Amino acid sequence: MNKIYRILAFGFCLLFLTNLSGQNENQYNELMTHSGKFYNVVGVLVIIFIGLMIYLLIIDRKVKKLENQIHSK
Amino acid sequence: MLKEIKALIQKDLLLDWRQRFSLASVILYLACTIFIVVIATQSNNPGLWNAVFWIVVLFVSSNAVAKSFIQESDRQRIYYYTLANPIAVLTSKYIYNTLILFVLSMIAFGLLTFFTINPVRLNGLFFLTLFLGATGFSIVFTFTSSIASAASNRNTLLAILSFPLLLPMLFTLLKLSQQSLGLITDTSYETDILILVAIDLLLVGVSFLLFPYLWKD
Amino acid sequence: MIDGWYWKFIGVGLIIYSMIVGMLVPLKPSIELVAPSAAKTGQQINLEVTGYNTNYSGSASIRAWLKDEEGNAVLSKNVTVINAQNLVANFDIPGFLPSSDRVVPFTLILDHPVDGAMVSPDAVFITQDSISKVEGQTLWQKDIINDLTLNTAFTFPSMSLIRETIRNTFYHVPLWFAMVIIFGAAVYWSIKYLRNPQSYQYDNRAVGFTSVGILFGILGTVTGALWARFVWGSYWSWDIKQIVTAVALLIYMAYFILRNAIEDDDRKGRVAAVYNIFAFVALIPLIFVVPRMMDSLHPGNGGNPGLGANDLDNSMRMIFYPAIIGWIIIGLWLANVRYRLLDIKYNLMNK
Repeated sequence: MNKIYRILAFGFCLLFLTNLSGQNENQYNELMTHSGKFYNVVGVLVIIFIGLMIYLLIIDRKVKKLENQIHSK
Repeated sequence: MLKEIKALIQKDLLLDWRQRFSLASVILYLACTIFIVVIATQSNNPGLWNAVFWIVVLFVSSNAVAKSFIQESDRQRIYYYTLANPIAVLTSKYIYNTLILFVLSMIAFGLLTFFTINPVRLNGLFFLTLFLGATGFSIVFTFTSSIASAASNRNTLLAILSFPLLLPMLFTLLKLSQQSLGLITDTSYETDILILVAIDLLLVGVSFLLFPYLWKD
Repeated sequence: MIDGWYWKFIGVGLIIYSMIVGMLVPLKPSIELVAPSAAKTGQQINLEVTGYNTNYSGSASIRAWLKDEEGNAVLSKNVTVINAQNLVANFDIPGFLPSSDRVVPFTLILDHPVDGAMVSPDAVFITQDSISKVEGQTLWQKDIINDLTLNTAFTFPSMSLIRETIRNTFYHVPLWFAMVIIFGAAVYWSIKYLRNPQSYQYDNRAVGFTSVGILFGILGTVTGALWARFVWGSYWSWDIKQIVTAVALLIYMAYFILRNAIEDDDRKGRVAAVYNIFAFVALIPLIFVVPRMMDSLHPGNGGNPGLGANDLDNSMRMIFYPAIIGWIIIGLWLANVRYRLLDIKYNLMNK
């Protein structure tokens, strides 16, 4: 049950984000191109951070599985 | 060693001759694919001809080579292993599959020119490209089919394992083929041929080193 | 092999250094825009110059020249500063050009006593109706561009279109270098495993490195796509280096599918190791040979798969190389955590 909630929350977040970028595409382009495209660099850093966090999440899940195995023994 | 290879190729030929239907089914598959593709595209554009030709050859090759290791049972394989050297087995498969694939791509060429046009300007270069393509496809498909034969769901696995590996080769093949069709003019196609030969030699060398590990079952 | 903790701190330190210094160092003052971009001979024109990162109002003695390819130049009559980013340079264009072409591109050169010299190549195209090269050469002078100021401040190069995104060199490019090295490490452990099929740790290491390599490959592709969208115009442009990364990702994802498709553990490790080595060898031509033959939007194309000398100046090297080492160390660390986990799992299963 917990898992389903988490997946749903994640889905809503994604939906929200895509909605945001879909509605304000001009704003998004403006943000990315003004002041020497500085926010492009920020975007790249954010992507790297998100990627590392997702990897952390994957490892976290694997640790959890191992813990469950130890508990069930 | 050479004797062994010869005997193994003869064995493969004999087996395929006894099971003519399986080879005939591949040819029928080829004919159907070309027929559908020609109806779907309905064009005499040489660029499109080139793309269609190589896609058809790629998919038919993957189907034809899938027979070599994937359709052999484990017991058969152990039997060969006791009789022959793994390198000899692999070499015989490479040679035999190269021949089969070359014949198949010639048939594909014949059918496609029969149904559409013959856009080939430089015949020598085109058939050399076909032969190099058959060699490369045979090496990659044969070796990956020997890898995939260890797993379940073999045919899908063969495609996903081998198609990305074929891309470097396909880049050069398509370039050479475009050249022989007169779509691009580039005087340095000798380099491309050398690159293809180098890739083939590299893959053959590595596969000879690695194949014994796959046989140690 | 790598038991201590200090190397992890070195990696994190290098990444933090690259982030802080890479974000804080300013771009070199440069010319962003010059308008109008066309003029005729005999005219008096007011060139409105927009600068980037400039401080025009900080100095009263700014000089400006228009110069052609051969060095024939004319000095501006006066330069009026509007604010820090804008100024107007007033030129009297002579009646003839020092060339027998009808239209000649001229480069605008500004000299600021603090910001240093700034160049805007082919800023103004001047058209002449009557052509006289000899007369033009008397009206335009050679060797009048002198005493240019050198800006010695620690800055990054400022290029049009790229601008601030030049900093992505420190965050996007090292991911690719680290990916290749990490896949190489996976091949190393695969070879070790084939030689020693009893040591399950080697197989686990190959898996750990491959998964981190995939992570870096995905991050490199996505960050590269974002960068490309605002520099080249689209997220994906079938550039050879994008193709190489995509193929590498396909191959290594197939590696994991292959592992999942084999039941027997011992066989799984062996077959996967064989595929890993074979795939890396098949990738070698794509990484090192094919890019040399194809045009690429990436820098350093046409004979050099890496970065050319012109794409990195010394100030950037001081951050770029530490960033590469830092990301390789972070990759090792992530892989290290991953394969230690796999070792524990193996021990738990086989107790």
